Amino acid sequence: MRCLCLVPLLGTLACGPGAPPTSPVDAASGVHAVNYPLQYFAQRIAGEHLEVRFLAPPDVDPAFWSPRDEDILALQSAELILLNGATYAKWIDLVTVPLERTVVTSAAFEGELLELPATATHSHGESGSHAHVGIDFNTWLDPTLARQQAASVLAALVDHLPDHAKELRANAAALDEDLASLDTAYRELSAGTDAPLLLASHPVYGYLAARYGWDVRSLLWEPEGMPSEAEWEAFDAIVSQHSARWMLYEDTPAPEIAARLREDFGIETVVLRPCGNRPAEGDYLTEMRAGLERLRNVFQP
Amino acid sequence: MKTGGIWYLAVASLRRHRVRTAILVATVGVVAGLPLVTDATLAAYTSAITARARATPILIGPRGGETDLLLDALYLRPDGRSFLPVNAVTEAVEGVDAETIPLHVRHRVAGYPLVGTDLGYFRLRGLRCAEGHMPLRLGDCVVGAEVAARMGVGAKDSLVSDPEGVLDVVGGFGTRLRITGVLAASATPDDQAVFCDVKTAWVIDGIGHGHEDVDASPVYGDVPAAPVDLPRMAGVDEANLGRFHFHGDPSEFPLRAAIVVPASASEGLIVRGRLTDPDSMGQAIVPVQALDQLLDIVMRIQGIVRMLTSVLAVLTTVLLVLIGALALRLRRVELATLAAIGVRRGAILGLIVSEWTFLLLAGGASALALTLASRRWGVQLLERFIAST
Repeated sequence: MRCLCLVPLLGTLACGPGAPPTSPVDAASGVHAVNYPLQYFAQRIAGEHLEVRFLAPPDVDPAFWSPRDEDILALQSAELILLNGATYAKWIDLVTVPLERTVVTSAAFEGELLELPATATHSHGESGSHAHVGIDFNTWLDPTLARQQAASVLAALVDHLPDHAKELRANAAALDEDLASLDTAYRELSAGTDAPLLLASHPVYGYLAARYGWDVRSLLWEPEGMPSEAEWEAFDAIVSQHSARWMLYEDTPAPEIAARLREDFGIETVVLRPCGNRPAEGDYLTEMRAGLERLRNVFQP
Repeated sequence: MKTGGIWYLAVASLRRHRVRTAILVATVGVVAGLPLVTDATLAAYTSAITARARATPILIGPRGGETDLLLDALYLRPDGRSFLPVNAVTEAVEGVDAETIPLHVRHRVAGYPLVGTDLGYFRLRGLRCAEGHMPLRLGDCVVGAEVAARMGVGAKDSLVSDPEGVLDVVGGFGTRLRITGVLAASATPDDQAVFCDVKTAWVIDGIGHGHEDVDASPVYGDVPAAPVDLPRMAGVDEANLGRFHFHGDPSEFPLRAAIVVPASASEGLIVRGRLTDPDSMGQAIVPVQALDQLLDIVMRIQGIVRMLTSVLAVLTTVLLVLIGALALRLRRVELATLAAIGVRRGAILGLIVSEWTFLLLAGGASALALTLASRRWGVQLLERFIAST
């Protein structure tokens, strides 16, 4: 049996398409997004017309963050809650939020979502065993999917701010152009070589790999934590079957990890930040462009 | 004899025969008050249930008795047998401009109905918290005003859901619920209920659960060697919230009913039209229309009560005349003494009339007091009676 996400279903149940808000909303409560890319998209589209909030603190991955009671209270009075969908932010199934004000931004490409392999199996009494199978939720890394998510955000914001629809659409068009340019850059980058073999410290690059034909084998390694010897041995077995020269990291790996990868396996590291949370410098677009630039070394013919 | 003297003697006589006076006042009060109380209570009850039904445009529930669906969904009567899957509702409202509010009315807490729903329910019913706030997460609940008062609980206290049944000794432990708020009194069945998120109700159903973490494999994609049995958590708190999850197809999760609030009458007709097929799992009822049938029964009962009280009033009047005649006979010596000491016949007659005037006035006041009390508490008592049957 699979663990499934309830909110898309319950959100559909709560409110039919185009249904008007059934209660007045607090204008000061703003629009909330569950991750930084969505906040970035929404804020660029909304401009100065409203504040788009993002509750997760800067030092955590919003995908695995859980809101405190005061955060949920803020969400209960939100005008709009932008969800990533694809099982991102599983806490949304565990809290009570106004479902009629939620928008699942990946709903349009639900059928294209990628499944991750099973990670654990267990059972409860006689109900039989089941595995927790995950969906890859890093949809915004693929510029094509990001454009669709931005379109979904635009539709929600236009419903919400109909008086500013023209300006919102103009802002969204500019954003779409930027995302399209990212897509073009990725296509040009990947077109120069055959499908490159890559390793990844985490299974976050699935959509990029699928879109641009990369062959990526993912691990569960943290950039700052030296893997155990058992993990190195497992890594050795993987490398023997998957002769990659590059390993993608979500953040700069510890120097000793990078050194051992280079010296023992001849593997170089390259940082491609998923940008689920706000980057230390710049924004979503600059971070994506910077990642692309770093990838140019990987894709040299 | 002066009028004041007659009144004085009348009151003194009534006070002298206190038990008799009390019985006569009570008799007059009950006989006069019964039709008034019945009318007032039924009128208030009819008004209350009609208002609740009018605020509920469409109810979707499983096929079966309309009255049961109406009573369970509108008046929050737990029913562990009748339910329909979520997809029966989503299919009925698909593409329709309408808000849909789920209702899971199966479990109880300390005997009170536990209603699983969403924030839309509180908005629809105009419910707000007098203390604390609405549920925030799995395992949270808000209690109705009467539940809070009777159980002496408030925000930050906790409750445990009732086990499924006395014979469920294997796995029927209750689920601990955190009270986040107490609803302001609304003089509706909501005062006598406990509310939680529908997802919490599904946790109590056993569809959702939490357990200790499984050791993750270092390489994504590998599966641990053997499945392990994991004990389920009995309650949700901030520490274990993240370990809760749901299994199965959410579209198959059970609901007792769903309230549909269409954006327009035509949208409502679409929903109702989709559920006219006898092969469909669900049925859609318009509570006001379904209630008419119920109210027809109430009105018939009211008619019978009126007829019975009329007969009772006639009999009681005859009885009172008889009692009056007997009292006069018993007081023959007393009245003869009054005549002997020079009290005129008119004054003696005035004395008797005054006594009966006092009795009737006191009886009338009792009837009025009963009627006022019924306006204040009659509907609640009637609802409690209906809920208990």
